[in-house]
Amino acid sequence: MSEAQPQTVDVGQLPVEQLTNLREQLENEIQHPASSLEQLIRAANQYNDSNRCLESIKSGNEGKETLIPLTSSLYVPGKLGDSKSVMLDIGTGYFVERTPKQAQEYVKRKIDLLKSNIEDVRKAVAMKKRNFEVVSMVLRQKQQMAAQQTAQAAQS
Amino acid sequence: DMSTSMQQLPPDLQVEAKALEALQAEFQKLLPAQQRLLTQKQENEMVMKELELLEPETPVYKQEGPTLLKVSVDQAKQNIANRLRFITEQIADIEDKIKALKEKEQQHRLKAVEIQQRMRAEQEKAAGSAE
Repeated sequence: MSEAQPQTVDVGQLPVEQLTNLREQLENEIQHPASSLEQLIRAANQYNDSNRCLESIKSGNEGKETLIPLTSSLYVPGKLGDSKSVMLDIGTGYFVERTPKQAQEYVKRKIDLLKSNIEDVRKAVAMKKRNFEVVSMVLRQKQQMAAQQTAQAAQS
Repeated sequence: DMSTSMQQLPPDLQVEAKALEALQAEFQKLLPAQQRLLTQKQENEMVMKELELLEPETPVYKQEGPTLLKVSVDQAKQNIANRLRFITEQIADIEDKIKALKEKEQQHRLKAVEIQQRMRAEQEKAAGSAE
């Protein structure tokens, strides 16, 4: 059973097989977050788009013509009605009526949250890359030492 | 592969190896469930935070199938609080199960080490008496 245990291990003490396994594990852990990172960035971009849309929903624009999506490929022409409130999806099936400005504040909160998550993921990957380098180096050294010892043993 | 190398082990070690395999399978079943619950907990906590920012008369709607039903801010908070309570209980339940599995795993590992040590001691004794 594997879990992430935050313990400090002196990498120099580990035998070659454990080092090889560790190196492989770190390599996997570095590649996995790439897709999570992508998702986070995509979500942040979607919120940015929402923000831009909300900018248009203001009192000057009432009555302006717009296209309203009925399905992902079917739009009908309509007019901007009430610019005073929008329906905000806050998750798990709940919706709230808010002003466009309040909705923009919500969107900003979400974007900030995503940005901090993106930062956390980047930091974690950077640390894993550093560990990967250290483990690779120690592994190379040990393999070289072992090769030298075998060569010396063969000569005697 | 696992089964041929297992057959090379003496029978009492095979028992421990099989037990450890079974425990690992159980563990693999619990992990995704735990992850799902933790995600749900986080989602509902975020919704609760948003609800707490609302003035009490703010119109809130709950999605029921294809419709939106109007509820009060209080009703929504109540509902989310109930959900969070339920989810927290389920998380505690799974954590207990995982803890029990880990204890069993530890027991079997110790037993396996014990068996291996005993085998080694017997081999040494046999080598000793052969001289």
